[in-house]
Amino acid sequence: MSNSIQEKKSREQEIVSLLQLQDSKGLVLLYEHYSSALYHIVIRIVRREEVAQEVLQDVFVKIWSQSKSYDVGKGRLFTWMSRIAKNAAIDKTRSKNFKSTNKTDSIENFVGDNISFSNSINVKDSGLRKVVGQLDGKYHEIIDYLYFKDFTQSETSEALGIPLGTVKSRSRLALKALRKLLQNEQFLLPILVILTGL
Amino acid sequence: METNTYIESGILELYVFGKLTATEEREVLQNAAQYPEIKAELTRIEIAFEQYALSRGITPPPGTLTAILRRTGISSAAAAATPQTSGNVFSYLLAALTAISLLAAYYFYNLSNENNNKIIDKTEELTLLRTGCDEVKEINTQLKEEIKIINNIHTHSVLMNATGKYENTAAIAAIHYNVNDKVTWLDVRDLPAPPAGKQYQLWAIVDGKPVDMGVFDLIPDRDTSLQTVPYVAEAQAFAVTIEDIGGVENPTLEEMIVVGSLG
Repeated sequence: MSNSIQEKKSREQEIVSLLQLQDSKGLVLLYEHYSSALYHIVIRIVRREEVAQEVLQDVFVKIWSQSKSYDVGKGRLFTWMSRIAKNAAIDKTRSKNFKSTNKTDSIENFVGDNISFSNSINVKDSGLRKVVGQLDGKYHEIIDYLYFKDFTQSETSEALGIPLGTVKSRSRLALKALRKLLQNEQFLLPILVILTGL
Repeated sequence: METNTYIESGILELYVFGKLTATEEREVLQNAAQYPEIKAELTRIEIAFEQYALSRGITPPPGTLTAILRRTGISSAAAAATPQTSGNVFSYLLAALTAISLLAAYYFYNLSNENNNKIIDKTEELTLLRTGCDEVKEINTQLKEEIKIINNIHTHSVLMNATGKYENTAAIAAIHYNVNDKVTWLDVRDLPAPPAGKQYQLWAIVDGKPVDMGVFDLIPDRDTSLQTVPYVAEAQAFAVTIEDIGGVENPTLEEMIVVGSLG
């Protein structure tokens, strides 16, 4: 596999072992690397900044306290964490006091597909953004609906006007296209990582 | 289980997106545990999607980390001692040098890859041209040989025209007969394929009597239509009959397709 993947893997292992030892450094590292990605997941579901911030705190507290239950053999750390984030966000939208105040979706408008408002993008992220930005619009769309908007398969099929079976196959094609893009850049990413490590 | 079909179905992607039912999820995990290729593919999808999610991150509001640390009972002071690299001049230099050499390595790696591909392309092209050249050369040698045979002053060429019940067909053949070198060539360029179960047989007529010169086949897709046949001295005429495979002792006259006499 590529250098960037190995680099990712070892960082992940480092974070996992720190977390499981309940070392606070692990939590800080975790926050540094994954808070933006997890925040995106949360805010797309709860759609209000102040609620999202609160849910994100819950998510990290949960990850910290449940880190022992994370099983490396079952999948990657990020997959596990993003599920916690998604479930926490969904639980929030179902709570009583959330429903009573949720009338607007102003965040949706300003989050949308626009990823540019994050103001602290480091070089590594911007390199990755560039690569991912090359992905075909219809692939962004399918990931966005299924994952970030949390539509079901049939809701996605309806919203995009495509057959149900196409939702599945297009997900596959989207990830394939994404992997190809990432593979092309796999040599450059570690260099960017080193440059940003300065 | 057809793991490839399973992988290509897109179910692993839906798993990573969290779009499967609990039962389906258990199935995916079971399959991943049982089939290493499914597990490997799943990990690759997870990694790719993780990169995607990281690239689309949205920075949380400031103060979030402090709040989390407070809630988990970790003091900010402990957290401040984070494992950030406290670089001195030397480590900066080292990192810069490493980056430069990696960039250079990347550049040369690409360059050499490109050159390698070019070499492979050119080698293939060369092989094709060489093969073509050899073919042309071979045909050329054959044709030269034929011209030499036909142009030899001792060679008599005998045209055999369609005859009998075949008179109105386009059948035509030729014999090149060289008394000096005692050799005979048969040209079968314009004979139709014989009927199934039949074969052509060549005859020389010596003093009004047929002499067997053997059976022959048409060789399709050949660049030359000349083939050597046995030499029969004192031949006055030549004929081709259609006979049963293997030939016969005496020609079946009504099955004579072409005939021609010398001089």
